[in-house]
Amino acid sequence: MSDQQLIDLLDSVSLELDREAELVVAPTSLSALRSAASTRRRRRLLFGLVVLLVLILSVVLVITQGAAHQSSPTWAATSSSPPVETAPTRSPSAAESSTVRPVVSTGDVLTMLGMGDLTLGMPRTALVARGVMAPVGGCDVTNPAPSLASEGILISSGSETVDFIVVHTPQHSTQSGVRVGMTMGQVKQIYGDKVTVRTVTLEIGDPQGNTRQAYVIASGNTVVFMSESRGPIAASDVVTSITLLRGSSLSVPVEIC
Amino acid sequence: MDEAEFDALYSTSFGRIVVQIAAMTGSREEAKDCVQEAFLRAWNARDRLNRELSPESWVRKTAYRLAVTSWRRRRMDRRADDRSLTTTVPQPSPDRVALEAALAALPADQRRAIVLFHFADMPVRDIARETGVSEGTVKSRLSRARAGLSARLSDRLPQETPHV
Repeated sequence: MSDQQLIDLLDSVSLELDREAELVVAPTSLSALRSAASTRRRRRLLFGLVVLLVLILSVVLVITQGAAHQSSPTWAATSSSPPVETAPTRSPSAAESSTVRPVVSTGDVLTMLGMGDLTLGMPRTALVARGVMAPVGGCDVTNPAPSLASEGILISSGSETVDFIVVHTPQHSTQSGVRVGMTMGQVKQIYGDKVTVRTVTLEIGDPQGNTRQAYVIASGNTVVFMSESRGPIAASDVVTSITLLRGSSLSVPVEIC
Repeated sequence: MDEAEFDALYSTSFGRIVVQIAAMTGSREEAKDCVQEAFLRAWNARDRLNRELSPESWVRKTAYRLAVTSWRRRRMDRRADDRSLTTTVPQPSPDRVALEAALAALPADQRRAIVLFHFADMPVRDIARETGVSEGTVKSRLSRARAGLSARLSDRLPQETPHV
C-alpha cells in the first residue's frame, strides 16, 4: 500500500469516527456526573480526615507511652556502678516547694549508690535545697522531711554528707526485688553467694547487745539485710531493714534522735 | 473553568474522546468508562483545568492512562475482553475493520501517535506535549507506524494478476 493510499484510508476512517462520535451517548447525565464527583470528593475528604485523626491519635499514644516509660526507670540494684538518674515526677507535698523535684519517688529502687536522687556522699546542703533536710541538725541521725519519712527512708548527714540510707518499710526494694518483710532465706535464695554472713554493730544503744548477724553485700559500698533475730541467721527470720552504708562500714544506725 | 464551560466540554468532546481512546485501546465500552471517569476527575480538578491549554487534551490523557491501567489490570486478572458495541453505533466499514486490526498490531505508543495525529487532527507539537515526548520522537513514531500499517494493510489488498 502506498503512502497516499494509507493517508486516504486514515482520512476516511477518521471521518467515520467523527460521525460515530456524534452518536456516542454519555452514560451519565451532567448532573449525575457532578453529583458523583462531589460525593467522591466528600468521601475522599472524610477518608483523609479519618486517616489524619488516626495518625494524630497514634502519635499522642506513642508520646504518652514514652512519657509513662520514662517515669518508671529501673536501676541496677546490686550493680557496683548503677546509673544514677533523676527521680521520676511526683507531686511535691505541701511542705515542699512546688518547684523542687522529689528526691525519692515511689517505685525507686535501692542501688549500691543510693536511691533516686538520694545518693551516698550527697552534700547536706543539696538535701536542704531539695527540702528533705532541716537546715540545722544537732544529731548524727537526722529525721528527714515528711517526703522521705513517708517513703520509709532514714538518712544521716552527720558529716555534712549522706552517710547511710535505711529502708525500713516494704515500699522500696533492691532491683533484685528484696524488700523489708521478706525472709532471710529468700534473700539468700535471690543473691546466693553475693551475700555473706557478717556481724554488724548497732550504732546506737541496744539493750541486748550492740552486735547482730546480718547478710551483707560488699561492693564499693555495703548493703546490710538485717532482722530482729539475735542468734545465728535462720531462713525464717524476717528482714526488718535494708541499710546502705558508705564504703565498708558495718555500723548500722538503729535509732533516730 | 466554570460550570457552563465544563458542560460544553462534556457535551461536545465526550464522544470524540471515546472513539479516539477506543481506537487506541481497541475496546469502545472500556473507552467509554475511562472517559467517563476522566470527566469525573476533571470536574474535581476544574482549577487545574483552567491552567491547561487544552482541557480536552487533559481529559484524553487521563482517560488513556486509565485505559492502560485498566488493560494491565485486566491482563493480570485474565478476564475476557468486552468488545461489544452499543446499539446506537453503526457497524464499522471493512476498511475500518482492516485498519483497526492493523492498528492493534502496532506498539501502543505508535498507535497513540497515529490516532492523535490522524483522528484527533493534532499537530506534532501538541502530540509531543500530551504524550510527554519530544517532537522528533513523535515524528519517528508516526513514520514507523505508517510503515507498519502499510505493510500490514498491503497483505490484505487483492493480488493483481499479471497480464500475459
